[in-house]
Amino acid sequence: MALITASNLNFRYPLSTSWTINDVSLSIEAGTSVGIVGESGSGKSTIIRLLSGLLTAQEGEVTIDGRNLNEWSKESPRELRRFGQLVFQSPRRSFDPRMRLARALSEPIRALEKRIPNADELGSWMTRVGLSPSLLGRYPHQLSGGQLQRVSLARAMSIGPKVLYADEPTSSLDVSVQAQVLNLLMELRTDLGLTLVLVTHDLAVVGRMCERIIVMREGRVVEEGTTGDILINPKHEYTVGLVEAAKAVSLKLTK
Amino acid sequence: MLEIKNFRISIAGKTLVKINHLAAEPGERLGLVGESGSGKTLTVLSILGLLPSMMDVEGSIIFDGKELVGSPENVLAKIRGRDIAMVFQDPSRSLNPTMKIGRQVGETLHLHTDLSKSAIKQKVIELMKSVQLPDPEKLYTRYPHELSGGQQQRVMIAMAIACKPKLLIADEPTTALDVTVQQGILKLILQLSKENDMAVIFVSHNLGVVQAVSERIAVMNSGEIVEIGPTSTILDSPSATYTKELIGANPSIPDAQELNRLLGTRFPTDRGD
Amino acid sequence: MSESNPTVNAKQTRTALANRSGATKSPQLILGIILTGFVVAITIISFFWTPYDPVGIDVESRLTPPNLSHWFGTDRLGRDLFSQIMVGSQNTLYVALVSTGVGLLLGTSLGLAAAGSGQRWGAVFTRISDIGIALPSILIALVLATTLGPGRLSVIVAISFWFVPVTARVVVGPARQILALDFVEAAMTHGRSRLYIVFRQVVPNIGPIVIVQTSMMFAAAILIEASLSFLGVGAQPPTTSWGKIMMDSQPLVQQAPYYSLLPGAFIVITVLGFNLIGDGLAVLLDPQQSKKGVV
Repeated sequence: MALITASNLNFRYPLSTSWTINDVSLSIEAGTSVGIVGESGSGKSTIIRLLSGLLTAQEGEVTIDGRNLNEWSKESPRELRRFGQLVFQSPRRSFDPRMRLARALSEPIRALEKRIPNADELGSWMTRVGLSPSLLGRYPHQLSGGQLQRVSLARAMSIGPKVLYADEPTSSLDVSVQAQVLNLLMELRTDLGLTLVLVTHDLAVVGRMCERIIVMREGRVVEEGTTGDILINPKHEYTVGLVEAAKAVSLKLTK
Repeated sequence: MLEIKNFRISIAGKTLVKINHLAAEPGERLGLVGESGSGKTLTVLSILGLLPSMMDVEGSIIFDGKELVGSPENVLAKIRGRDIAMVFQDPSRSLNPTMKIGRQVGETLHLHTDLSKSAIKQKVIELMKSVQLPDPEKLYTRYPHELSGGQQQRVMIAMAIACKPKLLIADEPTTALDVTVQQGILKLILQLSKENDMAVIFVSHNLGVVQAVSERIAVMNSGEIVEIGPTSTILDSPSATYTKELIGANPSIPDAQELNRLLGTRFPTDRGD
Repeated sequence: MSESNPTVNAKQTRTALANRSGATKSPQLILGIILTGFVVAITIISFFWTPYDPVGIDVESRLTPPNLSHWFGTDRLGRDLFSQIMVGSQNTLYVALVSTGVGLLLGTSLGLAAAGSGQRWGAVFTRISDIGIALPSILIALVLATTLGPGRLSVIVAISFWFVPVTARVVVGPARQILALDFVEAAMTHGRSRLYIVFRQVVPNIGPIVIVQTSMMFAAAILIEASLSFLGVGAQPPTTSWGKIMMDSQPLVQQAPYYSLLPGAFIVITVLGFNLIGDGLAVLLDPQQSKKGVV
């Protein structure tokens, strides 16, 4: 049974006349790594907020581990939050500029496990993501984007979620740092048996990180399949165009 | 056509950019690659004399026989838009939101030529067609916010090529755009360069994009040029360590072979391809 | 794992600068405290002692300029000006503090509520505050004076009536912007409630704005109180305030310039002092000492 399923979701932002998400159905198996790919306006960022419960769809249903998302959200919201965590695109905007990193890192544990983690625990998470624990006393603006994104990962993982939703986690980072963060993400995923839902516009990232790809356009799912299916044998006209364009603007080496 | 020699940009005594030699031939497409902080944007801004006043510039930039460094503002103003044009990263921030498209595209013509208003309008429509903007007559009276990102960038390019410049400097012109739109803009720049014998300096952190447009590539790191050579040489047999690192960090879309390899080692599932 | 970080030296320098002990970072704060301290000290002393009885009439010494026995001179009825200013500070400061406090608390709450409550209610709150801002406080004060009677209370109510929507307006924009930031979304994914987010994330981040707003309001309150007393709506005899003293001095500006200059100087010192404290605090509380340098 799939871990996460969405059936006929329709969503529109308040005060908007158009539907951001149009009749979207999808399913994600436990332990897999799925990429949601699309261009601007495709609804890919919105869909993971719907799947994780940050937003509520006006129509349709989301089922997580057999339970209806809305019911779960009402009955035990903390449990739901512990189940899935998010990592956002801009690490700078993901941290309260007035909070030191030690405090920021401990937020999920404080809020969801109702306890205060000690310095050792926080320090070991920092080391786990390749950072020195001495950075814990710093403020966000004192770290580079890549470092902050690692802290972001540590923060999300610290309460042991089963699912990680990553919204363009490397798009704001320098190219040389992107690979490091993605590798870290892969490591954490295999070590902790995580289900990964990765949203991106970058087919190269998805090609290396994900087993399945869901292609979205203007709020609808246009095609889905294994990474190989989508990248090598795309069927839908839009997907074909997308893959071709992506290849045209990415590096081609002759070796 | 353009030669940068013994060039240095510094601020308060600290050197930001140091280039011994960089040249571009007429009609040549040169890619300038580097990460943020490498100095690539500062370098191209200094060609047009657009650096902030607190920065000091030493050395020589010779364009078409004229020395640009230290040139007075009025001389530089004549060159900007007419002989050397520039296109920036975010078109929505570079276009005047309160001015109609047609008028903006015609501005350089208005400044640098003596053409009449109606002649300028004619030219503008032609320009908009040459950058493949749909319905130029209609778009002429629209405002920037009514256009998509890709269309806005085409407008910027139309503005830039209006006076048939010898050199087009494009600083990350496609970074803010969707991939399908990027492809179109790159094709356009390539085409315009060939048709009009216009040299292009294409600045980007994305090697794939630079590869698509450039004949030669200069790699910058920490304010210096680390390596420079024909595109194929730089990408297939790079000599500098930094270049190799940069190539490694710019992923390509995996092909079938690579996917099989990745699936075999990375994902322990029994799913076939 | 090392990462290239070309601005590391700049950051280290900023951090070192930031780690200087609190007060030395902010000369404004020190000066502000000195000035305000001086005025507050005078106010406190005035409860226990003044050189002369402020309402003690001594017709023989009327309108004497500052001299050794009357440091600030005397008014039309021979009352010692310095004593009057000392005692007047009680009213002036009280009015300024209370109305600023009310404006701050209610205004910020209103602004936060408007920012955090989504589209429909947010619009309602905005309309209400727009109306509040549009009504001039002096007009309100005059109306209140007719209904409640003149005096300190009407003045406080009138000033607060205007401060609340102004503060709300100042707070709403930045509060909304902060609520739209990713770290607020992150806090929601960590299971924090809306209320927690507003108090622990929004409020500290709008802190500097609120502090500056407060010091501006305080200054405005003193000036408005002075105007209202000038119009006869504020402090009524035998109580006095700086505004009232200035009102009394008005017909005698040419004859006795010291009579209006000296209370005026006190107003300036107090306003300046509070503004400096506001500026100093804003700098002190900012974890980012300076704007990020671009290299």
